[in-house]
Amino acid sequence: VPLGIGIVMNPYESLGENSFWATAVGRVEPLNIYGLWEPKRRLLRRHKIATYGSCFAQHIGRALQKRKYNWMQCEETPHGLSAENASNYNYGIYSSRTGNIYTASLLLQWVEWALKVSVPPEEVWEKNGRYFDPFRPNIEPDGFMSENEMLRSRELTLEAFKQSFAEANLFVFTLGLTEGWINTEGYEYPMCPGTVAGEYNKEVHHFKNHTFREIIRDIRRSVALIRTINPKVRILLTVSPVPLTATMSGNHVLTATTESKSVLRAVAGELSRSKILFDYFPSYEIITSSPFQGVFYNENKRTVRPEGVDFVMQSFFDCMDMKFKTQAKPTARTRKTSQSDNGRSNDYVVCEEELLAAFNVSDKQ
Amino acid sequence: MNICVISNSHAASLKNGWETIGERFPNIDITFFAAPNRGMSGVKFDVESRAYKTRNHSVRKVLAMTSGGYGRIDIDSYNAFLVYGLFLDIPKLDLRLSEAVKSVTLDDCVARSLNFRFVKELAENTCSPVFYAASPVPASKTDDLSSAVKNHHSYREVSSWVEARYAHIRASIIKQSDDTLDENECSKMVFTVGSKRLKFGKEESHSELDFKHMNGVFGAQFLESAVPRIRSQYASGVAEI
Repeated sequence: VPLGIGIVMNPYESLGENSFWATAVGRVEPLNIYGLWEPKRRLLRRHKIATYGSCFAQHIGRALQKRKYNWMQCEETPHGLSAENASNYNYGIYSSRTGNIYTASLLLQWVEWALKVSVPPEEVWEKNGRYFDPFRPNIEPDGFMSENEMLRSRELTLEAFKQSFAEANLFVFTLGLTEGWINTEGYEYPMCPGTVAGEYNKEVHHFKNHTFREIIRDIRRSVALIRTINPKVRILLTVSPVPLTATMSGNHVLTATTESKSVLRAVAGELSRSKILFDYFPSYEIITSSPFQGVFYNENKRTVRPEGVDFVMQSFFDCMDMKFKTQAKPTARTRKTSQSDNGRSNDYVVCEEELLAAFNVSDKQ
Repeated sequence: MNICVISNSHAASLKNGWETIGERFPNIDITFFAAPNRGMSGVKFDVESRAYKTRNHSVRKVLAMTSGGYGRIDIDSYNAFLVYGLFLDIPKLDLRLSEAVKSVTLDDCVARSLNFRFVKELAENTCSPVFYAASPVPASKTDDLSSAVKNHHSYREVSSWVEARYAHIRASIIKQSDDTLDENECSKMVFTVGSKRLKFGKEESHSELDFKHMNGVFGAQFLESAVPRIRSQYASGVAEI
């Protein structure tokens, strides 16, 4: 058959430059790689946005607030509390004071408690006369003065958490871990008992590495429950680029990280492909992929530098602009990283996982 | 007797109120020193001249305007002081907050307010009675008072915790009276109607959406209870001397 105008030799010929490594990545300055995300829906400043998830999710709320988006803070910082103390007491980190929600099953647990599908266990951790919430052990720097105080504080958080997903137009959830700690009664902890507080009991506390199927199921259940009171909510998933501090899987922490993040990334991909309701923003790829050569990581090769966070969030808004404001490519100026949010150091990120490092002797040396 | 009121934009309510009730207190003069926003933050105490001064020309000008001609506060010219507002707020605190959160919130509220700074300095540098009052509680943004107050500590309770943070200073609190508060412990809407800006000589009302600034009726009611207290404490001090 003679070749002529309009006849393609193979399907790749009709693809744009972003489909080819050489033109999209290989010959492009890393900071000028664009179009990594094509948002399904437009995000407007009036849209209410709730954010939760693993440590890295803390940056999303701040970035949204900085750009005057309607980031929900349903558990309001008490009037008069200074910014420093608000941060110490975990106000303004997520849309309510849940602390980090590392896994999909922890998210499901919070949603079920908020909707009274189930009741939080009565477990309380006591340490040196202070009381810690097993499900947000770092929420107050010195714990609570009584069990009752802890429970009342959680009640306030559950109300605020429910309000946030009941009213949100967009619910952003950052998947962080597949590994978790389960009580024999079936509930999960964000931290292994005995680390921040509590007491580890091998008969009661079991390690669990959640599988792809379980995570998909837990997210779907969580979202189905959320939609019972907010059918119009959209879900934006991200995967935290922060590697595991420690693994109980028996594998090397590096391969365990790769496996864990790969599973989470696959979950996000599967959900965003299958339902219009879900979208996935590739903060994970922006920080971890080869063109960036790890430059966005701190010296510990784990935590993300403020410049990296800023680049991720700038990419988020650039992609939104490109899709909905017909901006062909982001300008060079917008691609440049700027100061981190509020000039704050990344050290401000509240990450219980860091505490695990305190138990690693070699890390201390 | 000369009373010196040091304040910010909330002084407008007191000034307007005093204009309506001043005649009832023939032996009392009140001099207002107030600058809007954070203008008073640049007004510093000079130990040598025993006066509060500012290098900022526009703040000096507004002080002169509010006081009737004085661009500085000579503390020996007054028999008593009332530090009013100046970013000291009585926050609404949910009953379910931890004691630690409540405590650190109130510590921050007091320590970061200009009110505390002025009160502390005045108490340390003068023998005259020093009184302080927090900014009025904002009015409710809604007429719906059905949501009960049960989830918050009462205004009285929180005021007393604020007062405890001034306990080491020789100064007395004057609280907002209960009858100015509604069921939700917000200031009654009637006290925000027609509140005036801090522009003495110029009649300019705050926006109808301003729930923070009170009107002259509120100011009059506040001073009617505050002035006799101030006068009485001053008189007892004089008697002791």
